[in-house]
Amino acid sequence: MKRTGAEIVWEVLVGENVDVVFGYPGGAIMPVYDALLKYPQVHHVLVRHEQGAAHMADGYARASGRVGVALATSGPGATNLVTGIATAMLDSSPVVCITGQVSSQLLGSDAFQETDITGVTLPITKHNYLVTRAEEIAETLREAFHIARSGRPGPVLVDITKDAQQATVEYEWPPAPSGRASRRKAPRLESRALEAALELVDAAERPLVLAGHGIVQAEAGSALRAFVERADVPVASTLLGLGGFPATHPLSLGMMGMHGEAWVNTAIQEADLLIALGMRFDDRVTGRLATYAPRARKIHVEIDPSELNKNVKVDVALTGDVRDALEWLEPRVQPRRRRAWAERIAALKGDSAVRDIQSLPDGGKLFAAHVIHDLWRATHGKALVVTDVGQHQMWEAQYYKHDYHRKLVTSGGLGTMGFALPAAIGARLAAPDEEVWVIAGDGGFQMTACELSTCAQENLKVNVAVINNGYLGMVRQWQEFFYDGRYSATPLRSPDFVKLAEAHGLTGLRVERRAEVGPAVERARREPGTVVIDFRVEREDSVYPMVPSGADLGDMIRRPLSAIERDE
Amino acid sequence: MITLRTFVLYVEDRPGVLDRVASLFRRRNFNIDSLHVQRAPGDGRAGVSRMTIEVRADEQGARRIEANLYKLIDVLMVQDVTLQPLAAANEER
Repeated sequence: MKRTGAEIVWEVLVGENVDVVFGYPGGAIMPVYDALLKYPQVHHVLVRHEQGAAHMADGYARASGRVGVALATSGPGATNLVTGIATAMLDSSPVVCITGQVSSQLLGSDAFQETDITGVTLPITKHNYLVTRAEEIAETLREAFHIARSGRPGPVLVDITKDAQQATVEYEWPPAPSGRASRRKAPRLESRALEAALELVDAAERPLVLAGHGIVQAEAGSALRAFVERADVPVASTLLGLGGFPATHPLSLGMMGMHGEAWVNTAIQEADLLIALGMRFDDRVTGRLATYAPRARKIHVEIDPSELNKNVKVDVALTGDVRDALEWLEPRVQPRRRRAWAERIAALKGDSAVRDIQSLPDGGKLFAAHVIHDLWRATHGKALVVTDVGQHQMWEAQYYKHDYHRKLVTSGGLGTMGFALPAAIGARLAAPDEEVWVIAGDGGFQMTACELSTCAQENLKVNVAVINNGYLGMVRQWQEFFYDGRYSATPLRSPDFVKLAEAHGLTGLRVERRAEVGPAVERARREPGTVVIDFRVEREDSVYPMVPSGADLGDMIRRPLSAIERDE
Repeated sequence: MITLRTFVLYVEDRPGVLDRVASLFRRRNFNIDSLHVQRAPGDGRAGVSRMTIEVRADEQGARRIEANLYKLIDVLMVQDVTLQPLAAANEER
């Protein structure tokens, strides 16, 4: 059958079961937008800024495990996607971005709104394409979807010239992408290395699992649970691994790293075996490499072989699917109990509890940690929480106990402020039955607050908790700790968030005392539309513990006990 | 120990592939000593180019280069021929 290139774009999206795309029209993508009208089965969300489109596609992908799609025009439309693409790249999120490009005869002429977007995005995409002929669109898009979701997932950009969108050609649904890329074999776990890993686990007295994003992406949660329950191995999580293993499970220790729990970091330093699963030993996780886990043998299972022995030298390196590895290990591992190790960890936890702000009276003040704890309780720990970047993100990771897969969406690797609201819109559309909460700081929220307008236009229900302390809080904290309290450019004046919500036809609430937290959360849950709650929290609270950048993992700044007593 | 390493790559013969390969070395902070690109001669590999790249790296760096090259969709095969006698390397060609 005859189709224009623009129609073929939609034919392939429909064939890939895409039900929603996030985008913004413009000159070079107009044929695709015109053809959209013939494909009512695909819902288009009009964003307010293309960065939002990329984050929405990313949020959609993380909440569902399916490929998210963003659409933009050439030039500024395409360059506005860049931050969102880099965010998806660093966190291995399957996203396909489709951009319009000037007509092929104008390529390289500095035509109006021409940008070399495949050149610009080369280092921040898993792969990208410039398509100049209508005949190539179907095959290329099919391959783009395949690459985005296979192996270690990631963003793929397809740039299509306007003349390719306009040309009419014979079209047939390509049965499967046929390029060499699609014929690549998935890595297979090496059996000798599996045997070696098994031996190390059986011999270990103080083992720890380090669970990363790969657990979530490989849907390996139940395999992990079966394995650690049988072998009695406690589980520490990376930020993106949270929810991969139930936080309320007795073997769950919580988050590791710069703002990880003190007992977790100490346990890593004392462990005799680390079993790293689907994680990449990021510097925020390891602290100083030279002194990282000095007593531990290390097993590393990763789908991406370039991550093996990259930062941390390991004893057993396994390339392959983390679920396959766990399913191989689980029936073979020795069932045993490691009482001494469990007691040691319990003692470490007890020491931390006395410093935990959670156990402390609030003294009439509103602390972010209390807000997040109360939110966790009110939502029974079941909300899909999308966090922005900064102090609130770390408090959320510490105090919202995630028991389920794909219930925490956050920008880990790139640390993109402004991620939360648009990503939550994407997550909302991917998971319409979930209760979606945004937790954002007053700084990050303002970076993409324009997307409130998208919520209003789309009639979407998203609850937004703004943790408002009047500072760019994480930078302020670093200035307090490492720059003698010189608060350079961190005090932040914000608009009235209640009025901002109301200006969008949404509901705004303000909370200044702890007693008001629960009722405000309940009210937000009852409202049919999007609600923004402005939580006015303690201005100069800090996230503890903290491993200073480049310090030993065991060398943490703890919440000062004197400060706690002062609060009392 | 940092030594001169030689990689032979077989890649898709299409525009932009050299850019992707060169960009990878730049991004991972390796300096290319020499670079040779040519269409693979009539050996049944239609649409394939061969790149020979010399770069200074230690053993771990060399493994990282290799692993990262394989992540490029257009890269079909990577060989670290540093330790191969020149004749053997030539035969490969």
